[in-house]
Amino acid sequence: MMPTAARHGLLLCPRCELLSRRPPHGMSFGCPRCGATIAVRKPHSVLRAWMLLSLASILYIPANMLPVMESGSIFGTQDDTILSGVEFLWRTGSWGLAVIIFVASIVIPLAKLGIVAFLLATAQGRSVWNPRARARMHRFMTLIGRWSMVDIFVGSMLVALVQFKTVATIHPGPGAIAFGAVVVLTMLASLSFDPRLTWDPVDRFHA
Amino acid sequence: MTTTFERLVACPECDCLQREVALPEQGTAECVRCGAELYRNQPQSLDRTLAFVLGAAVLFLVANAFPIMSLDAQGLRTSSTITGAAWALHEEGMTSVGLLVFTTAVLVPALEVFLLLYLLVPLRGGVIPRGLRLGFRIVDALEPWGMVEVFMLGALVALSKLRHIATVHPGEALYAMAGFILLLTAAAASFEKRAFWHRVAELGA
Repeated sequence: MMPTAARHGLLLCPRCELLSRRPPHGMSFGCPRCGATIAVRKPHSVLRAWMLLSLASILYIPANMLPVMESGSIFGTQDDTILSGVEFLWRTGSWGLAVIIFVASIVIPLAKLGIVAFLLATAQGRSVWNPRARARMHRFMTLIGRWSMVDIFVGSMLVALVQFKTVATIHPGPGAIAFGAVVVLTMLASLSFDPRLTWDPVDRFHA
Repeated sequence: MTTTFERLVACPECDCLQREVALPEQGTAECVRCGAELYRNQPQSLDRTLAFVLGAAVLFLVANAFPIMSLDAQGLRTSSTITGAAWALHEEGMTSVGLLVFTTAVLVPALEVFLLLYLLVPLRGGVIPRGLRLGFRIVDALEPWGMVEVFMLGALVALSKLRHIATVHPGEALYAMAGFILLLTAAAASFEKRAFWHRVAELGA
């Protein structure tokens, strides 16, 4: 059995990483060095993460159904969802771009929703299944999550540049709001999840 | 008075308690149980960080003062800065998305650079700046929200998309942004929390 900080009455500051002795009363206190709030585990980690994740999953639907971009030219207007935008890139031979946008806007958000849900469910069920693999999943997700913002940035550049009133214009569609919200909510959900919860059942630790 | 334990380290990701070991220069200590990075040994961590951040600050100003790219079509020319891209969304009635772009691509990186300078310049000169604890916590909390490198990829994707329909000129800011990303990444890799707090302790907080 591994020695853990919690079992030895020690707490690690999440900000400055100072190790200090847990005070006799209370579940949280201020870090003596940097002043951050230290808790044995992030408070309400599982509940908060589930709530943020549910909200993100709901918004994931309009994010993919509604157009994220409306392009207008003398030939008429065209509404594009994320997927139809990827499809258009693929059809017109921009395979590299199609793959980048597909991975960033479809694969990464779905992977994040799936991984956070999986980590939460296994932590909640006090699973002891391969904690090292789950720790790696958590690190991987933290690393890739931010890249799902790519399409939002592409859209903002296009909207800013393609403003030739009579010839061609690009307007953002309502799907962009939902998609931006999904990105922020999944990031908040993964930040709410305390990765130490994966290991607590392994340590048979009861706070 | 709270007792602290300098010789022990706890893994921030799995709580495993382990004894601190001395590392060779540029070495990294990983958690024996889950493999998370525990700490590094960067020689002159704070000086290097400061040097990289100073360079990053200059490039940040360039990256924000000049256009990322400009577009020629039908005898007309448009161009946009990073903030201009966020502002365009606001003008199209998408203030929330515009704010998200501005926050992640401009505001957070600006705050990170400013706060690091605010903390590290006085420490270098032997002075503890006011609000050091708060400044440190903010820098640490901002880290996941700075997305200049993602913006850069977005700008490159936009650039190659637009190449099919018009003449696109990459702007000065695009190159400055690339340099900024490299320097900020180097600064983050050089910055060691323990070296920072060691310096603060030396100066007698």
